[in-house]
Amino acid sequence: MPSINQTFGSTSFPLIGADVAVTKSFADPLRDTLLAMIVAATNAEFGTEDGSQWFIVREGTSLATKLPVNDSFPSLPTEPILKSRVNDFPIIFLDRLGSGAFEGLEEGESDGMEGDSDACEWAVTWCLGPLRVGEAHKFNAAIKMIFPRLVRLTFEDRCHPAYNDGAIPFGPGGIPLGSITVREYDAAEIPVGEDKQLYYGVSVQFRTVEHSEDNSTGIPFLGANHSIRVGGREGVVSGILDLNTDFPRKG
Amino acid sequence: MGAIENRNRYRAIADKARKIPYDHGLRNDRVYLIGGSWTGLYTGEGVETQTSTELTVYGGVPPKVRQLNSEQLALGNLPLGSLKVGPITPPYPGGGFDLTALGAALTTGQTFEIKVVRQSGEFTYVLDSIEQDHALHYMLVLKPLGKTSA
Repeated sequence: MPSINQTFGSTSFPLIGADVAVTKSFADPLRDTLLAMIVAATNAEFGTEDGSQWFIVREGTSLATKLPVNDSFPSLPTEPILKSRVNDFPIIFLDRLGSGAFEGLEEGESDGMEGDSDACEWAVTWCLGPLRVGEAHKFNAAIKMIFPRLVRLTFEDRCHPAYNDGAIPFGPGGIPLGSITVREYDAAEIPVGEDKQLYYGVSVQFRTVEHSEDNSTGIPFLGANHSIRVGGREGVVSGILDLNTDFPRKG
Repeated sequence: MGAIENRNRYRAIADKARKIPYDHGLRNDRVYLIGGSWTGLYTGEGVETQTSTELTVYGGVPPKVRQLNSEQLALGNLPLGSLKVGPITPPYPGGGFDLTALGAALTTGQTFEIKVVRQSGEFTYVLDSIEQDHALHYMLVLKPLGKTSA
């Protein structure tokens, strides 16, 4: 039986089956929101109409029929994904890196929120796919200069007019998010697999801080045992105080 | 007879020869091309529908499956457990196997994996590359993804 009754960022305990009944995948609402926002922002800023910079530059290239973002996937661009998933370039990948730190806030990240915090590292990768040399030059500045700045301005504004009508999706009633900081980027040919096939793209790293808070209602208190002990370097003196609450009787 | 007709005739001859080991009980591994699609927004979300097409040579029999040795793995920069499947005969009138038709049938977000059923179990692979440097056959190089059953 689930026993945690707490919200931590966009993770809400207890985990309810109905929340994943449709997707049949564990949910990460913050990840999905950030991905949808950056896809919308990238298409809007580079342009999706005749006369936009993207449409002018793409002419005559292998991306001649493509939007700035044709496909997206909430994951990191791992080799199995790049090789066994049918990807429609340009594609944006966005996911948590899988590393983070509880209570590991850096200077300036504290926003006065109480409760535990989880500082999480992320990466968003815009991958244009394999390009010929001349094509790579055409998109060079978009990869190395424009996209990283676009990510920073969008994420640190926490909204974009092209997404959700410009409404900020974070905060009360929305996705809980303490802070978001775009940190660094690495624009390079992305070597895919052992054969080092080159996909041109850029990866932008950023960091979020999410907080925890107790849920006001939920699972009833079922009782607990507490044993208070004291001790120091030499060892622990046990049995100073034992507290037992009443557990509800079955039946 | 033109060059293309000649090539197709050679392919037909080669394809028939590829059935001989099977007739002698020497082709025990079966290879399936698996396409996956999901009902959800992203790959992996919702309910998966799989299509399975068996990769065969002449007469619908399984192709040769080779385990690469350590030298081939090192030279090819491939992980342990990689396989080479083939020779597979390219399409010719009345036979051959057209891999491009399968690739063209897949759309964005779908997945393509290869399942090899061996005496020791079923194993899933990712297609690493297709060697197409011969007119009469091509070879698939597969990298292991994981074991699907014992």
